Amino acid sequence: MEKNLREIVSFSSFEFDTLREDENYLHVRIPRVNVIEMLLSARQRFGLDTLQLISAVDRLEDNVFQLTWILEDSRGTSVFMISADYPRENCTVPTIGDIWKTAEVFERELHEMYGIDFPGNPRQNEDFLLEDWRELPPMRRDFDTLEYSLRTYGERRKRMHTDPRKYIAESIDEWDTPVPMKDSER
Amino acid sequence: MYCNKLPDKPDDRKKIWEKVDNMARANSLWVTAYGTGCGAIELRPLHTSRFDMERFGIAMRPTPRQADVLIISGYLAVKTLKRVIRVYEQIQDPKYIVALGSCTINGGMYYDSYNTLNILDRYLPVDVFVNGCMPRPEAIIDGFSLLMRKIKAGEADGWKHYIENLEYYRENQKKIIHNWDLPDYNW
Amino acid sequence: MNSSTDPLKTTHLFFGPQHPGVTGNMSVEMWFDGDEITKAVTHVGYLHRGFEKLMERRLWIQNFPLVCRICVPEPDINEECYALAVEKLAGLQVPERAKWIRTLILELARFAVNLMAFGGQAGTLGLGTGAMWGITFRDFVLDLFEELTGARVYHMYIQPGGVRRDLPEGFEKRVLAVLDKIGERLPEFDRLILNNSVFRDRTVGVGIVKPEWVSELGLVGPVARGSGSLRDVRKDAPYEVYGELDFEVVSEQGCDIYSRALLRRREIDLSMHLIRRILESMPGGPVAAPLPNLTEWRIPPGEIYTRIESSRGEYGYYVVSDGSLKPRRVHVRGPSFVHALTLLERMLVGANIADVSNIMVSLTTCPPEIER
Repeated sequence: MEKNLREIVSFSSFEFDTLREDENYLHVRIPRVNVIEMLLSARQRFGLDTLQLISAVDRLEDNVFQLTWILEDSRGTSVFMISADYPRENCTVPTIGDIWKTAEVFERELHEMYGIDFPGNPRQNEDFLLEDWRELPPMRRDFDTLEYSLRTYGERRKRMHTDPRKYIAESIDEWDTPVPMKDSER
Repeated sequence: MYCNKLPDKPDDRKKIWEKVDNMARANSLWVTAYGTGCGAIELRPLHTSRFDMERFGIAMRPTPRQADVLIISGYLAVKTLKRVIRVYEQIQDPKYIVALGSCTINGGMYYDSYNTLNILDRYLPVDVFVNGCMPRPEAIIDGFSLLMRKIKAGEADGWKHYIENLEYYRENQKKIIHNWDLPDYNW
Repeated sequence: MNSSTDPLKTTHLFFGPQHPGVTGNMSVEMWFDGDEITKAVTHVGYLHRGFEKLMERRLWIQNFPLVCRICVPEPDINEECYALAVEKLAGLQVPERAKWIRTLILELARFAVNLMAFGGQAGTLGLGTGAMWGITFRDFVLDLFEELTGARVYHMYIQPGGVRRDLPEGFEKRVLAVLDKIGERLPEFDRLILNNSVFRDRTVGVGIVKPEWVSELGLVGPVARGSGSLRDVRKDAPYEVYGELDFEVVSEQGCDIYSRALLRRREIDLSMHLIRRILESMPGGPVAAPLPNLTEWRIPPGEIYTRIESSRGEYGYYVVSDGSLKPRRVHVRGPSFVHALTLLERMLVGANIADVSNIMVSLTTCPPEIER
């Protein structure tokens, strides 16, 4: 099976980087124009017919979103991963919902969490995990979750001291000693 | 098609009767079956004969209309808070809230999460907090016995506090639930 | 006018999130024509805590208490999956004994979940006794976990490079005692559930998962194996010591709820068999590899996708490191992601209103792993 995975990319006419190669495991980075072609050929010619995951990584310093498609064969023995970089501004990625029905859900999540647009996905504008979100998409690197949490939900209660001895000595008076139940209460 | 009337403020003249009522209320706490968070998994062993919560008169009810207690079993996401408010207001008076887990007290390990509340009792009146992540069944029983003692002493009046300070709670709730499409009070 | 769009003939109903028949905190919006569902839409997000964002803000080791909270009934799979990813990225070698102990923990967890799921399947049909028994049996296993790790539910026992501590003295004996105690009651458990005529009537031929959906939708675990597939990561891509254990992948041909319940029952037997084999051949030696200073622990840049078999199917972690103190990206791929959204929406069309919670429980959808 390992040989097969190499074959998928060896036919290709474009440049690719191998990110990780292992037994029954291959991860390549390819140009973004070839992604759909690559996914189709992996499915039709090599039997990698299960889509496991579509994921995105926000590489803020390079100003790109790296998208990763993870395919497996129907027995689940081999894993084939394709990555491609897309520019961060108005990021648009072709949908593969017509090839794999399950892709719709992954794309809905990425649309909500990163603001990536998948034109042609009929349900991408429905609320998925968040309801009526009005800030930056939360999984982007430039969204500060701690700042948002403090601003919206308020500061959490903290211990007054970090020294446990001092803390216990001060708060020991406040502890209510458990009152044993009287017989009449039972 | 709902009633827009706000609930009446609690009547002080009934205080003597309430003492009698509280004796009965404390011994039959019926719980709404709504697992809002991960603490709900430790409620299941409570049904079995090993921990057996029915010996305290605590039973699970499928609908809020039949229940007295709402268990908030952990962190609340904003999306759940909206449903919890609805469920809580549908429970008939008197009603009590038991909150499980450290994350309801001060956010716990989700203190910096963008989607979970940090301090629950700004939005709903909590009668008993049970800490731990997650609280053991024994701790939950201990929390319930504290609730029973509070009810008998007439101190578990979170529901009165909620009606008296409805504006304060509503203001806080509307601050984080942006599209507020609920009625003024969910009867 | 089509009956599914005629507002006078269609009933619109929200099922959950406050409903005793829903698995966890999720909801299904359904449109009915009479008693038959014409359209179903799953709504999730009630448990969203933003784990993936929080993990980008914490050190590699600080994420271990976080990941186990992603799946409530079976937290160990998350620790294991994340630990595998960290070990492969950092190039850590796990001692032999630690691998065996990890496999033991994973099998014990699977055993406990399957007991609860098998009983819970009966619980949705009103056979409350079955559900109670399942939870009681699970409690015996939780006691073992408590002795081993100090916690009933969230163990935080697996760490990169091994496990937190060695097995206590006499632990093997107590595991075997629990297996014997539960094994004695299992025939009665079967009689209670599988031979019950109500259970058979309500499950045989209901909730069909067609075999061709398995590869089309990427179904995994008991849902796929209940429809004739042999897909099991323990066999297909062995991790830890599953390659050294001899076992047959269990599979059923029925495609319905009954065959999935039967499959869970056979998985219980398989787990008991595996736990006994593991205890027999457990080697000695250290249980944890030495770790560097954890507050300064930088992991070389790289990307990896690790997967293991949970009680609900293949569970994957996609972890990206950029060479800093914290992970760059962790994406959790739970099996329920497809089961509860694409598959459930497809299966419910044409089903009856009374079978909805039955179908949901047979898929053991777990909302926290969809939402993280």
